[in-house]
Parts: sequence; C-alpha cells; structure tokens
Amino acid sequence: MDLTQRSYCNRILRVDLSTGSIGTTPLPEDVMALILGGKGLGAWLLYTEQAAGVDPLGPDNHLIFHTGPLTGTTAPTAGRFGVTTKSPATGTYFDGYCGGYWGNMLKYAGYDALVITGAAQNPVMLVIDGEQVEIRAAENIWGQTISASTEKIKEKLGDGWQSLVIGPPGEAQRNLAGIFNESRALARGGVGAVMGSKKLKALAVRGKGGVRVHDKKQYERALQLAYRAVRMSGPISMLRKEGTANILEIVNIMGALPTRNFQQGQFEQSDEISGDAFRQNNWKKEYACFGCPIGCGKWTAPLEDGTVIEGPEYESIYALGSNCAIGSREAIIKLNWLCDEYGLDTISVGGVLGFVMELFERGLLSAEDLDGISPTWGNAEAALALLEKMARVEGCGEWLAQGVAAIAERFPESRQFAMHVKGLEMPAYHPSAAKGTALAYAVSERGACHLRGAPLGELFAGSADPLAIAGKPKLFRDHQADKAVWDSACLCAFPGYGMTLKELWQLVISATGFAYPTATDLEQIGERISTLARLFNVREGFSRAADTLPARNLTQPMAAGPASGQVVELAPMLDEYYRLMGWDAQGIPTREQLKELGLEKLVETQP
Amino acid sequence: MKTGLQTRMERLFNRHGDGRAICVAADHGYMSDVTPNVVNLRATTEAIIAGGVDGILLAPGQALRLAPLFQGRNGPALIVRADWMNMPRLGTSNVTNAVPQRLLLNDKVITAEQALSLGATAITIYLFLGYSDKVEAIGVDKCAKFVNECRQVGLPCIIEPLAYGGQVTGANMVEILTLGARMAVEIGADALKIPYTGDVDSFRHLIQVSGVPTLVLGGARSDNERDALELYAEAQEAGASGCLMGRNVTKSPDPKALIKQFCSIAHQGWTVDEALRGEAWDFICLKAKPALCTGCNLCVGACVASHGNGDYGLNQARLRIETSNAPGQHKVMFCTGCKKCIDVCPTQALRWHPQSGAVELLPERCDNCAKCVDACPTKIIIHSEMGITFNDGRALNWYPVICDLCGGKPECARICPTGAIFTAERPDFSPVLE
Repeated sequence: MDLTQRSYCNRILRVDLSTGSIGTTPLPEDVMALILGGKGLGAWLLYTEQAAGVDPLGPDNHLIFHTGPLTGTTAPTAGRFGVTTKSPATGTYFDGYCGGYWGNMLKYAGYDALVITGAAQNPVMLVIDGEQVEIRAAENIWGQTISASTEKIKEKLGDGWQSLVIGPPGEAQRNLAGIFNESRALARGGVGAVMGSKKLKALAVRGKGGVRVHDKKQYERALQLAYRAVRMSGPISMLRKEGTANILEIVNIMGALPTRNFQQGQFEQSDEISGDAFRQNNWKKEYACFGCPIGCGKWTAPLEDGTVIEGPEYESIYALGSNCAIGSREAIIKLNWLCDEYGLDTISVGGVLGFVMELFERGLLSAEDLDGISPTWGNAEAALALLEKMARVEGCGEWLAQGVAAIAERFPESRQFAMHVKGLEMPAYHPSAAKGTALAYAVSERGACHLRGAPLGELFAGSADPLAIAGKPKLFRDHQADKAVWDSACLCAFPGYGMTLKELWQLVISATGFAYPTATDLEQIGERISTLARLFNVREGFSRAADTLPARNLTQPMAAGPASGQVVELAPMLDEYYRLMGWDAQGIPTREQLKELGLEKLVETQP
Repeated sequence: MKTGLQTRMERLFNRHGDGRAICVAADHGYMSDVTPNVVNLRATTEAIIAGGVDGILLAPGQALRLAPLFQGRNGPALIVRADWMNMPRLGTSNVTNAVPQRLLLNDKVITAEQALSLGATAITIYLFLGYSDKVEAIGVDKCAKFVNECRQVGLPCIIEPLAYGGQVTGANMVEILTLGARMAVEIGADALKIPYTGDVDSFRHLIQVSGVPTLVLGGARSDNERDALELYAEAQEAGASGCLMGRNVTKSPDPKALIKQFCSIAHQGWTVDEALRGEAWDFICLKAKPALCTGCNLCVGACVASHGNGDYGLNQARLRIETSNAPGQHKVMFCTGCKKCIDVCPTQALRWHPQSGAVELLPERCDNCAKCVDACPTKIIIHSEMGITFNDGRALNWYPVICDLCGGKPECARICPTGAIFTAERPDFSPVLE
C-alpha cells in the first residue's frame, strides 16, 4: 500500500534535541486504517514509543505534532493540526488542536508528523524547509513575546514560512503556557512548557509539496457535499456572524455560564459581553484559518491604546469575563491580548484569576501574597496586573502561572474552591447545569475538556434535558467517538455543525481509499483512539479515583438560576459510561474490549 | 371523500402534468422570530407566485389573510401548517425569545375541517424522531388522529418527519429519517415533507421505502443559491416529487427569480447550470471584493488542485492572497485580463484563448524572455517548475504560467466562501486581437 497515493506523506520527521540527530521514518502502515492519523497517530506514537512514568518536563517526554489525511487539501478547515505529549499540568496523555496556517505547511513540507525528543542545552529553533531540516541557535529570540519572535523569524527567513513559537511563560516551563501560530494556539495543558523544557523556542516550516488523494473525482464530489452541508447550516452562519460567542446568551439563559469561579451560572452583565455586543461594538472583520469557509475568528477595532486582537472567542470571554465578574469588553480584549502576546492559555488564565479573586474575597489570599495586588470581583485592573505577573513570570506570577491545582497545593484551605479536573482548568459550561458535559469533564483523557465529546447540544441545541443524567453516558460516548474521528481526520469541530459524520466519511474514504463500509464504522475508530488515550493514562496510574469533579459540582447545590439546587450525580453516570465503553468498575479497559477494538496485541507487547 | 383527496393531490402535484411541485414554506413567523422575511410575507408571497410556485405552506392566520392570492384557476395550492412546536426556540439561531426548554412541545392547532374552510389543498404536520420514546409516542398518536380527520374530509395529509433529538448522530441520521418516512406512511401520510439525506442513493432508498410523493425541504439558507438548486436537483433525480423550500427562498434577495430557476429544473428538465445562467454570457472575467476576503486561501488551494498533477497544495498557484499590515485586510491578486502581457510579448506567444477568453500561451513561440512576468501588474504570472521540450528539439527550462480561467469555470470563484472573488460577465470583449 503506497500511503503517498492515499493523502499521506508517509514520513514522520524525528528530531532528537539532545543529540541533534534528525531523521525520518515511514508511518506505521499496518495500523493506519485503524487510527487514521491526527489524534489517532499522536496517541499511537505516544503510547507505543514513550516509556511509562517519564517526567513531562524531562528529555524523555515526546512532543508530537501531527496532521491528518485531509490536512492540506481543500476540505473545510484542512489547515488543522495537533500536538500530543504528556502534560505537566495533568500528568496525563494530552492532545491539543490548532487552526492557523502551520499544519498544512508541515504537510506540504512532506511530513505527516513531527516527533521531538530530548532537550537542547541552549535555546534553539527548528527550521524545516521541505527536505532541509536544521536545528539553529535561537538565543536572539529567547525571552521575546509571541509577536516579536514571529516577526523576527519572518524577517530572517522571508515570505512563505509559518512558525510555531512559545513565549516567556513557556520558556519558564509554566503550566499555563501554550504554543502559538500567530493568533492561533495549542493553548492548553502546558504544551508550551514541554516545548520550553526542550529549550525549543520555535518551529518554522515551509513546504512546496502537495497532497495526493486516493480518488480525486470521488473526493471532489465529497467536497461538494461537505461544503453544501456547511453552507446550509444555521449554527454555522451564526458562527460566521458572532463567532463562538454566539452561544453566550443561550448558555447564560440555561444557567450554565460559569460566573465568579463557578459560584453562579448566570452573569448579570452577560448582555455586555455577548457575541452581539462584541459584533456591534468591537469586531470589524472576520478571520479564517487556512481552508476555512466559516471564519469564526474576529479582528477587533483598535482600543484607544491601539490594542488589536483576533478574538475574543467564547471560552476566553467566559474565562476572562464572567468567571472574574468582569463585564467590560475592553478589559476582556486587553486581558486576551496579554495572553496572546506572551503565549498563555486564556481558559486556564481565567480559571486562575477567578480562583484567586474568590480566595482574596474569602480572605484565604491577601494582597501581600499577591505582590500588593487586591483582586476583588470584577476588578479588571487587578486582573491585568496579575496577568502581567504571569506573563513576565515575575513575583506571584511564577506560581500563579502554574495553574489552579498548583495554587491549591500551595494554599491547602483553598482546595474546596479549586475548579479543575486532573489539573486542567474548567471550560465555559457549568457542569452542574449540564450533566452530560459534567461527565465529559470528569472522564476526558486530558482533564476538564469540552472538546472531547461533551454533548454541548444539551445546552444550546435542545438535544436533551441538560439537568437529567438518564441517557447522558450514551450521548457522551457517541459524541466522544465522533469527535475523535474529526480530530484524527484532523478537521476543526465547527464544520461539524453542518456536516455530519456521513460527509466526513465520504471525504475520508475517497482521500485514503480505506474501505470503511459505512459512516458508522468510523465510530469504532473513534472509540479505539479514545481507548488508546485511556490506556496511556491507566499506564500512568490513573483510574476511577481521578475521574471526578471539583467539590463545588459534587456537593454544593447551585444557588440560583435554572439549575438551582443541582449537583452532579457523577457515580451512576460513571458506572454506566464504563459499562458502555467495556471498561471495568475502576475504569480500566477490559481485555475483551481491547480485543474487540483490535488493541489487544498492543497492550501485550507493552509493559 | 376519495374523490376529494385525489382532486387535491392532483392540484398540488400535477399542476404541470409532470407530477412535480415546487412549493415554499413560509410558516416560520409562527414558531420563531419576526425576521424580515416573515414581516414582508405578503410581498414575498406575491413574488414567489409571480415566479410560478406550485404551493405555499402557511400558518392558519396568514392563510386567512393571504387567501385572495391563492384564488383563480392558476393560483398555487395552499398548504396549511396544522401544528405548532417550540424547536426553533431551543437552538442558538433564535436566542431572542429562547426559553430553557426541557422538553419538546408540539401541539395541533387546527382541525382538518377548519383547514378545508381556509381553502387548504393539503395540510402538514410534524413527526419528531430521535428525541425520546415519550415524545415519539405522543407524536405518533397526534399524527394518527389527524390523519383520520383528514381522511373524513378528503384532505391530503403531509407528514414531516424530523430527526432532531439527542439520539440523532451524523452516523444514524439517514437511518432515522428513512425509518421516519416509513413510519409516517404507516400512520397514513399521503405525502412527505422531509430533509435531504445528503446523497442521491440514500434519498432514493428513502423514497422507495415510503412509496408516497415526497417533497424535499431545504433547511437553513445558504448564501450560495446554487446549493439549494443543486440539493433539489439531486432530490429530484432520486425520485422526489418536488420541494418545500423555506428560508432558502424567503430570505433570497430575489425570491421570484429563484422560484423560476426551481421551476425550470422541475418542469422544463433544465440542469442547475442552465437554470442559474438564465441568460448566456459570452465571456467571463474574475472580479474581487477584497474587503470580504478572510484570508482562508481556499481559492489558492482550489487553483493548485485543478491544475498540474491535481495534488492539493499552494505551490504554482495562478492567483495569490496578500496579507497587508492592517489586521485582517487582504489583497486578492489575480489575472484581470489587462492584456499587458500580450502586448509586451515580442514573439506573439500570448493571445486570448478563443473559447475561454483567458490569456493563452503558445509555447512553441515562447522563448521565455520573462517580459510578460515583469509586465504583469498583479505579478501573478509565474515561472513553471518544469521545462518543456518541443518536437524540433528546442527546449525551454521554464515557461510562464498564467491563469486560464479554468476554461470558463474558475475554481477559485466557485470555492470562495465569502464572494471575495467571483465570476462576472466580461462585456464588449472579443478574443480576436486587432
């Protein structure tokens, strides 16, 4: 089977920064139809090649960038790529995905994936010019911000390059640090810290090659159907109009907009920070990632001081806005700008700020602990000051930028207010007001995550009663499988608000020539990949005990709003979910299930 | 009553003797926001009647108000929406009056007799699938009772199965719709209104399984009107007896023209291209509205994929997106047909292509002096990566690569999601050089 005729490059670029060795290997041909690429490829490489129990910030942790079979074609959102590594924030398997313009370029350079191991002595950057790959010194940009580093790389290398860079918090190996392709990021889980631990400041790539699909005629037809499904979708036209923030109003109405560190599910100033408010007052142009027909990104008009960002998107608005009781759009834009400029994850930054504000209001943290800053609820100035500390990794910023879980370790009395799962700060849907989403947060392979199949439709598409638990494990399981397929084909989630798995299947079979008989057959691939990620976590010592939620969701009933009186009844959902997945009561995949999924051999050959 | 039913089915489906009906659903104001297309319902209704629509679906109140428009021998058939539901309020497309719904609500609001007295030729009613067994059971019961009412007065009952709830996934959508179609017929539906399954084969199967006339619905509006026409043409190919398009028509800037296009596909057997063109353009050119460009580069990708060896990539494109210093501002650089390259060529190797009107290179005359490359104001003429060898042994190590307008159907304009680059008529053009 010639994978280069099936929309793959059939080459993994491998760089060992300790030894400086650079080489390539072919894809694992015999398993490609089982894992597809993208997330599946990342999970496979991490599970099969990385030893158990490595230090996430040590040279033995692998940092794997990957594309999917559709990456680089004209499929909707085909610029997408991902990263897989062991997270310093969670200690788990961790994958993240990013739009922008870097992923398609890696593919055009001739690589399906890039595996970085080891660690350099001094700051370096990796320069990939098609076949030519070299490790160059990067002292001159070490310490610089995202935009400054990106500009310098552009100046040095010229046009036609795309780069991924980390900022000062990444260099300082902070858990809140992401990896940035200009305004787009692999933000979560401290993947920027992993890159920093390898002294790798930047990855610049240029490629002039192409992607050859298996059946061009069939693929073009599948593209036509996919695009039509995208164009004929109400939710997608809302994404174009008001970005991801279009859902803020409905989530607030449902009582699920996390406010004041999840003490509430409705924000009294939600009208000020809705998609409509941003559209009326701040946004002036759409931004699209490579190959994206939607354009959910938005450029803002400059603030008085000239600040311009591409954003804010819904998660950032919740995190930097309602979660801190900040109702000023300008403040949110400013906070978002700092995160983008220094390379921090907006969700986790907002999680930390909301947490610190609550601790300050409760007297568990004082201004002395915080370098003289007094973060009261809604105090945008204090939030900016704290964020600057994190961005520059100075004073209290050094430990704040380690995230909510680390802060809770430092101040043990604060633990009951710490909103995170497995060390990852929570996304913008209050679990107590959305039970299927709560289950997803609890069991997702990377901690609290809304993008690993959380059935968000229970909140904004009326697809189920958000407060009921009946049927939710099944709903989540199906969505999780679906999402793993999207992440493996490597498209953004948003075309999926118009396209279904059927349209994706038509693209995948014509691109790869893999003979999956029906769209439903792809779901098994998704389940296999999610299970593979679970196996990694099991090997790292995770099981049922870690599949939990903050105390606030489990024991403290919501005080007001449509979800008033609600807590998450997690145990019965976990039982049901494990049963559906073929896992035992401790959440460990059974041997029968691994056999069913074709993973049995893999586990036998591994410790 | 059998005669009444038959007469009405004929009126709806056989106005043109071809068993097909182009219908428009304009009952949205009944269940969702007061959007502009709902406010101007009379104007919209008049426009689509002028376009030759075969049937219009209205809520009872509007049916009463707009009744005069349906009169006369050639008036369109009135289809009355017989139930109300809250589904549009649950979604993000309508947050203005959204309420935290826990369950789907769906009530019958008019009897068959009342619908008849409004002048209805048929009625339509929802059947919800995939939400929960409870909702499904209530829906089946409601539909069954209503079918009985319709039978007694000879009114055709169109059931609209909607696969919508939490049990619906992308993978099982077609299965649920097909089952829903069959359920509706078992309940007693005389015709179906149903979403397209996405491809001809599965829709053909659905229609065969149901065995009654099937009207395909359009769903959310696409800004590209070709989508709705293509969807209908495919449904018709699969055996559909027509369509019941809603927002795709009522939100169109020109509903009358769009209905004419639908009718030409249904009743004159035109292809989508024929229907769209309406009038013939001798030559086309590319035009751009750079303010609309989001920088996604799909045009560049589509250009590369449709030339050379057909691989997907960005190299050797015949147009380019330039990002300016102002955030989010882009320039669309493409061949404007300015003729400077043709004029500057010392060997007459460039000319207008006689059919497409694009710049055409006659390679055997070219001696790759690069004058055209330098003269191009948009700098979109590039060097080929491969050379060329002629029969007489002469060889060029590169030759200029220029936009060929894809032979008259430019792929860049076809894929552009925002209309930033588009095809326009090229007036007063002749490919013959003076």
